This record gives sequence, C-alpha cells and structure tokens, in this order.
Amino acid sequence: MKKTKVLTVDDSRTIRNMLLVTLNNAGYETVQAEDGMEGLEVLEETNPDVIVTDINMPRLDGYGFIEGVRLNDKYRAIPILVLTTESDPEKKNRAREAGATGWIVKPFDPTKLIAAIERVTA
Amino acid sequence: MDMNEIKEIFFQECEEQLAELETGLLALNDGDTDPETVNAVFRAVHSIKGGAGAFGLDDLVSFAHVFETTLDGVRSNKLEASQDLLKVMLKSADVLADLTAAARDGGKVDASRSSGLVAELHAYAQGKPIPAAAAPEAAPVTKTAEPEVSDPSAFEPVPFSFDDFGDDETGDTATEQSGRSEFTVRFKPRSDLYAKGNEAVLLLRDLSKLGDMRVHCESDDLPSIDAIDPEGAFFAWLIAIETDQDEAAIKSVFEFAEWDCQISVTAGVTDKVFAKTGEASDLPMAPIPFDLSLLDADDEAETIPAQAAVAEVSNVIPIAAPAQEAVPTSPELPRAAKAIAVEAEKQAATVAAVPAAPQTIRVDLDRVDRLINLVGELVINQAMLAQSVVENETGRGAAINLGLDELQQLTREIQDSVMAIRAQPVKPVFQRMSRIVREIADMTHKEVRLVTEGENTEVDKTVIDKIAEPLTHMIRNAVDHGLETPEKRIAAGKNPEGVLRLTAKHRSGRIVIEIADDGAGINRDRVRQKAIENGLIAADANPSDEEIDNLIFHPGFSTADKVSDISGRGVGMDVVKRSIQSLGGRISIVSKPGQGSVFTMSLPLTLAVLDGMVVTVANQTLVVPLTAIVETLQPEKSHIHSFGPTQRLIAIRDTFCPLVDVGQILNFRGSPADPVAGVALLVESEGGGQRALMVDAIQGQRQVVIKSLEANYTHVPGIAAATILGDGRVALILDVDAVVTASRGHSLAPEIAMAAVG
Amino acid sequence: MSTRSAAPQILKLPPVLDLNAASRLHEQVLALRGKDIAVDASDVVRVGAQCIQILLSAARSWQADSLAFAVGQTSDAFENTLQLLGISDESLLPKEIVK
Repeated sequence: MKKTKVLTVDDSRTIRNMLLVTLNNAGYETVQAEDGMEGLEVLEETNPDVIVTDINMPRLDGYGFIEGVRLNDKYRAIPILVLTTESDPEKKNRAREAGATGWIVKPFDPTKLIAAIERVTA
Repeated sequence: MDMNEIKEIFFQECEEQLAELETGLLALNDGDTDPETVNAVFRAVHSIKGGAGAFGLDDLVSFAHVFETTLDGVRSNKLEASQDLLKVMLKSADVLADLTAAARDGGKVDASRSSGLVAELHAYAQGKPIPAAAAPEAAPVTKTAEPEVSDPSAFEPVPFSFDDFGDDETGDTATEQSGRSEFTVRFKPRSDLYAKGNEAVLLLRDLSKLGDMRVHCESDDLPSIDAIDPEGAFFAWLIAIETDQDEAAIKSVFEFAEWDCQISVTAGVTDKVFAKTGEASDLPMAPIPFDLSLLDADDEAETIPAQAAVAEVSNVIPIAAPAQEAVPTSPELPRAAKAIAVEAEKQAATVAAVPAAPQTIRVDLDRVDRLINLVGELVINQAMLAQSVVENETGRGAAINLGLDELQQLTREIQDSVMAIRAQPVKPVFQRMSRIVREIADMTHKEVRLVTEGENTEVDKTVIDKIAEPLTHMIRNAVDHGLETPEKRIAAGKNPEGVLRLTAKHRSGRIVIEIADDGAGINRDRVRQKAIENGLIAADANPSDEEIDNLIFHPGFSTADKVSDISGRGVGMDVVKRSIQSLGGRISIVSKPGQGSVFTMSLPLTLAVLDGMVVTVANQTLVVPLTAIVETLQPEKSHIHSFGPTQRLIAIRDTFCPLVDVGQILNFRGSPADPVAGVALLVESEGGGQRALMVDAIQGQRQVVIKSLEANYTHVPGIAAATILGDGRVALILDVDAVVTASRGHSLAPEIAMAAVG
Repeated sequence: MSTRSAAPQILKLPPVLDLNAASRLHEQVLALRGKDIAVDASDVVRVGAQCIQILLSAARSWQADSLAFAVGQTSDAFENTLQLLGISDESLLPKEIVK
C-alpha cells in the first residue's frame, strides 16, 4: 500500500524536524524543502499528495509558493495546508486568496496536524 | 531523533537567528531600507517564537511575540524605523538573546529589563512611543505586564509533545451519553473551493464520520454537457445528520471550506425531502450505510479485479491520460490553461534567476580535527621521506625526485583544503562586539556607532574562539578610554557620536584586525606621568611617542583615574597583549592626539601549521616563524659595534640595530658567539623596533606542524611550541617576542612569573 | 433501440478523476457526442465532485438526445462516492444495483 506523501516547506530547522518526526510517526512519507523556491523546485520529483508550508520564508514566501503551485498545470490540485503562527485572520485571508486549502496554527499539536492532513487527503 | 535533539537544533537555530536579527537591525540602523532586511529581521524573531512555543518556553514566546508585533508594524510600513525605535529593538535583541540563553542553560533574565522593553515595544506598536526620558527603567513591572495580557491576538503557546497521539477519542466518549440529535446541513460549494484543493467528496466523507446521514444532491443547476464548465461548481447538498456531536463539530468539518461555499447548519430536520413518511418511497435521497474505509483510495488498486474484457474491445478510448503527462503547450488546451502555462513559465523564470544557496553539511569538529592531525602527520612523513631520499641519493634520483615533488605539492594542497574546512568568517565574533559596544556606551553615557568591515574574512575556528576575549577587552577599552563623552566631543568640535571601526582583513598569510576609534587619542603626558609613578620608566627618561604609547601594554598599567568596572575588570592591556601573543599574534598601537587611536592585531590564520625558518643555534635546531623575519643578513666585522659593556649593534644600511644572541638568551651557551661566524635574522618586534637575532646557521625554510609544548611537556620561556622535523627530530619554535623582550634587559624569568599569574 | 446495431463506444475512466482530470474528461465526452456510450469506471480509485458533475451532465444530455449513456463496470470507490454525494441517478449506476 502506497504511503501518503507529504511535502513540507519551512525554513526553520526546528520545525522541519518536528514535522519530520510527527509525520513519520503517523506513517507518512515526508519530503522537506527549506523555502518556497526549493518547494517549487522539488515539486516535480516529489509529486506529493499534500503540501504543508510555512508563510514567512526567505527567497519565496508561503504566499508566493502557494500561487506557484496553483499556477502549475500538473500540481495545482494538490491540497496545501499553511503552517503559521499567525492566528491573525488577515494573514489567513491572504493565504486563502493565494490558494491555500487549509491551515494549522503553530506551534502545532501533532494530533491536529495529522487530522488536518487527513481532512484534505483521500 | 527525540525531543531533546530537536531542542538542541532549536537552540542552534536560535543562535543563527539572533545573529541574523542583529545584523539586520544594525543594517537598518545604518540606513538600509531594503524591505528584505526588515523581512529577515521579522523572520528571525518569528522563527524563534515558533520554536519556543513548541517547547513551552513561555518567557521567550511572550517577549518574542511583543517584539514581533512591533517588527510587523515596521514591515507593513505602519511604523517608521526611527533611530530611537531601532535603539529599543537592538536592546530587545539583546534581551531576546539572554532569554534564549536562559531557556537553554537555566537561569532567569532580570524581569525589569524585559518588562521595560515590552512596554516600549508595545507603545511603539500602538503608535505612541514612550518619550525617551520616561524610558524603560521607569516603567513599573505590573503595568508593563498588562498590554501583553490584554492583547486579544496574544499568542498562546501550545507545548509540543509526541505523547499527544490518540488522545482525541476522549472527547467522543464524553458526549456519548448526552444523546443524539439531528441537524440539517445545507452546503453549496463555489468553484474556488475545488480550485483551492478542497473537495466536496472529502467534506461529506468527514461529515459522515460524525453520525448517520442522509444526503440529497441538488443537481438542478447542472448545465448540459455543451455548456458545462468542467471546473465549475453546480451541485449543492442537503444533508440530514443524526449525531452525538454538537453543531460546532459539524461546522468544524467545513472549517477550511467555509470561505468558498454557502453553508448552514440548523438543528432538527424539517425539510420535506427527508420527510419520515416518504422514507420507504422513491424519494431522491441516499442513506450512507457503507464502509467509509472503501473511500480511502489506497487499497483500491489491489481490490479491483482485472477487467481484461474491457481491454479487448477495439474501440476503447483511453481518456484522461495520467495528469502528470499533461502537456501545457498542447494547442487544444483551453485558453485559460494556456494563460496559466504562461504564468507558470514566468514563475519558472523567476525561479531560475535566483541563485541557489550553497549547499552545506554539518560535521563534528572532532572529525575535522582528526583529519587535520592525520594530514599533519602526512606532511611530516612526506618530509621524512624526502630527506631519506636525499641522504640515499641513487643514480635514478630524477624520477624519485619528480614523484616526491608531486607528493609534496599534493600534500600541501590537501593540507590547505583541510585547513579551509576549519576556516570560518569572523562575523559571529564581530556581531558579539556590537552588543558589547551598546552596553558600554550605555554605562558610560557615550554615543557610539560601531562600523564593521571585512566580517567575511576567514580564519581558523580555534583562532576565532580565542580572539573573542581580547577583542572584547579592546572594544571595552576603546569605548571607555578612547572615546570622549558627547559633551567633550561637542566641545572639541566633533560629532557627539563617536565612531568605532572594527576591521578584519588578510595580509600576507595572516589576519589583521584593527580597532580604530575617533576619540581623543592617548594622553601621552598622563601615560608618561603614570609610568614614572609606577616606576616603569625613569623620571628623567625621554621616551619617544611610540614608546609612550606602547607603555599601555605594560603589566598593570591603567590610565583611568579610577579603576573602571567596565574596561578594568582587573585586567590591563598587558593581558590582552599576552593572550594575543600566545596565539602567535602581535598587537600594536598608533595614536594621534585629538584624532583617536588604532589598535592593530595580526594573527596567524591557523594555529596548526606555520611557515618557519629552520636554524641552528649552539648545535640545537630551532624554528623561527617566517612571519617574524624581515630579512636575513651575513654580518661583516665592520658592521658590528659594541655598545656598553655587553650590548652590540649591527649597522644595517644607515641604521643601527641591537644584536641579540639567541643562544645566550636561551642559555644554550655562556659566552657570546662570534657574529661574523653566524647569520643575523632581522625581526620586527611588538614594540615596532627591529632586532637582529644571531643564529649560527640557516638550514632552510619549511612548513612545520605545530605541536603544543605546554600540552606535552611544560611552558618553556622563549619557546612558543615544538615541531617534528623531516628527520624525526623534535625542534623548538622560537617565541621571537619573548626573546626580544628578554634582550631589552629583562630576563626571561619574569615572563614565567607572569604566565603563572595570568 | 433495437435498430441500433453499432456497439457503444467504451469510455474508460482513469484511476484518478480530480480537478486536473475534469477538463480532459469533458473534452473526451464531447468527442463522443452523438454516439452511444458505455462507461467503464472499473479503474477509478478516486473521483471528485466535478467529474461526477460532468458525467451526470453527459448522462442527461445523452438522454435528451435519446442516446445510450450507461455505466457498465464500476469500482467500489466510484459507487461509494456516488452514494456519499447522494447521486442516485440510474444512468450513473450499473443496472444491477439500481432497483
């Protein structure tokens, strides 16, 4: 049985490691990128089932990354969850406008992260 | 990987973020207006907050949150990054660093320090900065805690724990007894819902997990196949659900979708499509009794029986080739898709335009050190091999020599490459200095701007680790003693803000670090007076300006009228000088009255190898660091002049230079050697003056691997370290400065005493 | 119906019918306009509401043209999704499970 593949995009090593541990514990296959630019670069080879991305990142932020995915003919249908400390509705709004599927408020609770991923994946 | 390891990573990352933060703030302070600088600063604080939240480091989180809020104001141009605000933010960066250190190592940060800044930051964020006069200390702690609490968007940390899995069942069982109720859900997606990766099927699947539901699909709006937008949204659903959960639970299913759909949840089921009486009839309503796990696509591939029959039909039309093979340039593509393709190409172009960050790996320092040691042994081994070939010269030497030359070349290159692994920019040390400058400027009520140059100059990690302390002391000294108070500066017609310039550069195989201030310069009269009082020089002595300036490096010398707590700390510049010398470095000062002083220290790039001249002194082999040697000369009898009872001078062109008999200084022999029989090495000493070191003969130049004498034996006065030569013999590396100092009439003994005290 | 002698065109659905597959499905269905269609949904592992919309729209349009649009083989995932979405239109369900 094929594992669900998650692409995580976050510039913080701490958060990347937490995501890795959480997702691997939950039985997902995890691929990680360090910013939006790298996220777009690895999209092709990764072909993920779901993407979890941070907002504040160097080079290309989460908004730009989401827009990039949504403009990509092959990968525009992938659900994208935004990981962010911003509980601010304005920022959630911007992420939604960029095309985010859902969001997880950081610091994330592993149960909630998994629940959110399950919610948007088949 | 466990939590402790991740925490370790977190603190490492904090260090990097703090450095980034400070660099950014200093750049802003210098007038940098690049939005990316503000973004980087914001990200640094944001990132620390995010990680700290995950570990439940509440102090760190709440301070970072307030800091971040203010930075966000600057980022979104709601707040001007004024000099005053930047001052507050730089102080906040220091407190953030302290809070991080406290979180890592335990301990507490003085609450009044952070609460004062919290109040200031908060006031800025609200657009009402506290006037500088009423600044931090004045703000009472109780009052300053308020804004944080009352802040509606206050950040609530959720401690991260891997034990949390599987806890969510408890909620379900608790409500089970409260009975089941019915709700009607109306749900009409807009096409955006699908475009953003949400899916009505999945939403209904999640809803069905809450209880038993009956679903009615309203498909009246569905256009004909010629008119339908394949990516449009035409279905709407009316759902009756019987559940033990509440309305909020139902709504939460649509949490991600509610922006892109019409959704309503009402208690009870009244809609006629769900009328109980009609249940047995043919009403268009489908109960959902099936096993939901079947919707999880994963096992499907295996469970579907191969339908070979289909494949046999000749007019099979393979539709919808796998999505991955979609060709964006296909002419049949709808116009919209083409536009998207163009956009995507633009996107790809931007991607290509940004250079990829260089890839790095983290390596345990021990491994690098081991490699360096091995390469060091290889260098020695190669030298030994070369020597034995020379000694056993055979007729076919040419080929061997060629091979040896290549080996030497390779060994040298490997050594350089390995050394380069340990080389790091001085940036982190320089960054620490800016904080020190701020603190001392605050304490001494001086205005100081630190300008750094050449931060990317690289030097061996051990050197970096060891220069931080002397550098800190010199910076303190420069602010405390070098720069004047704003009042005095104004009186002298200077900018009230003093400038401290910290520069690093490479010069002839060494790193040179300069600390220049634009202060008053050394008060030579006072230094001279003090030196006389302390008995360092005779009352009637007439030292040169340069000699007076160098007196400040004398043990125990301090010109401050009272021993200042800041630069004092019971330590004088002599200690700085000694610690730099112990690294094989030199320090000097140039001062101009009224214009300031420049301290220059020069250090070897690595502490592992040095280029040396191998010499013979009284049948002993010594190595003299090449960097110390200005030139070598063959003394002639006519150039040697006696001076006083024991001193001799050598005439070099039109100057006289004291002749130092190394063999005598090191007690290798009792009587002075004949200068004409030996060789003189002209060396530059710390004080600036030149000395001619007498040795018996020069054997050659060679790169040697430094082996610490202290670590393997004990400190020997006049000797810096040892090395192993090609023939396997141990040779001592001369401490040129110690020898020169000894030649000035001081024996080597006080050095021992000093070393013992220091 | 009995006058029609030609075998219906087989429309074989791919395993994944998500947002990305909708336009292509639409084009393929339109290309078969005027012909009887037998849909083979046996490979389908995942189908979204938008592709179901297209299939249902097609079924109705074919019906209006008095042409056959029938789903032959299906996968469990396909049928389950129809049920979950409350689609009981017989043209999208294989005959044997429709009353």
